[in-house]
Amino acid sequence: MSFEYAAYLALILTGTLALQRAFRIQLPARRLVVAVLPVAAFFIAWDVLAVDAGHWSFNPEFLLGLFIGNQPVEEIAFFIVVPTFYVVAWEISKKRMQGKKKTKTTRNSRAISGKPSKIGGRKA
Amino acid sequence: MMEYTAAAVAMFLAGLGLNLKFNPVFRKNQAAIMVATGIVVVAQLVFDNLTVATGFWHFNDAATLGIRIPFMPLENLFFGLALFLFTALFWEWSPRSHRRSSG
Repeated sequence: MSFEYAAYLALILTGTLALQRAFRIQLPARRLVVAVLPVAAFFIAWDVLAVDAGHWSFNPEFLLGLFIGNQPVEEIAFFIVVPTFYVVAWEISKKRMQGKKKTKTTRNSRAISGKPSKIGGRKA
Repeated sequence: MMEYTAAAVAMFLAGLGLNLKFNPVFRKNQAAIMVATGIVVVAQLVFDNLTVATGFWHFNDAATLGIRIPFMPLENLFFGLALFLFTALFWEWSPRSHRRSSG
């Protein structure tokens, strides 16, 4: 029994929560569950089939040793933790880009409104 | 042969297609897509290479193209991007608790 894979997931989760707090990302639990669970179920099903087919395998040296079918519990947790990180990454990206868009729009609307700017504000 | 390659690329394309067709937030935020994709790719390159190099997972070379960057199979990149695309799709579809009234 070893906890490296679990520790790796804990590290990703800690980073995700730190980013969420730093960027003030809203993560309503219900919305997160509704979004993440179907994706997790689908990708776990893929994982089950892939392990059965021998596409990849897990090294028991790094696992807690608890399995559900052919899936270590860490692998199931992976499909909850990583999509949560992806949601935070997606929300940060949207927030940053929308912020940039707003700044640009404000600048453009100032230019269009005809208010004299510091440069070229005098009429000839 | 190369079943993981085929599955990962198919899932990536399916995720991309579904987002373009059914996720207006995704379509309208192309700059955000680029930034988020960058974050996902960098995170995956760092974490997957660490774990694959350490030996958490073993990948069957018969199921892949055999291209590694540098330890992680190329297919993992498509797997991660597919996971991101499906997560973004379901996140935007999931009901928000506080909706602003349009009136």
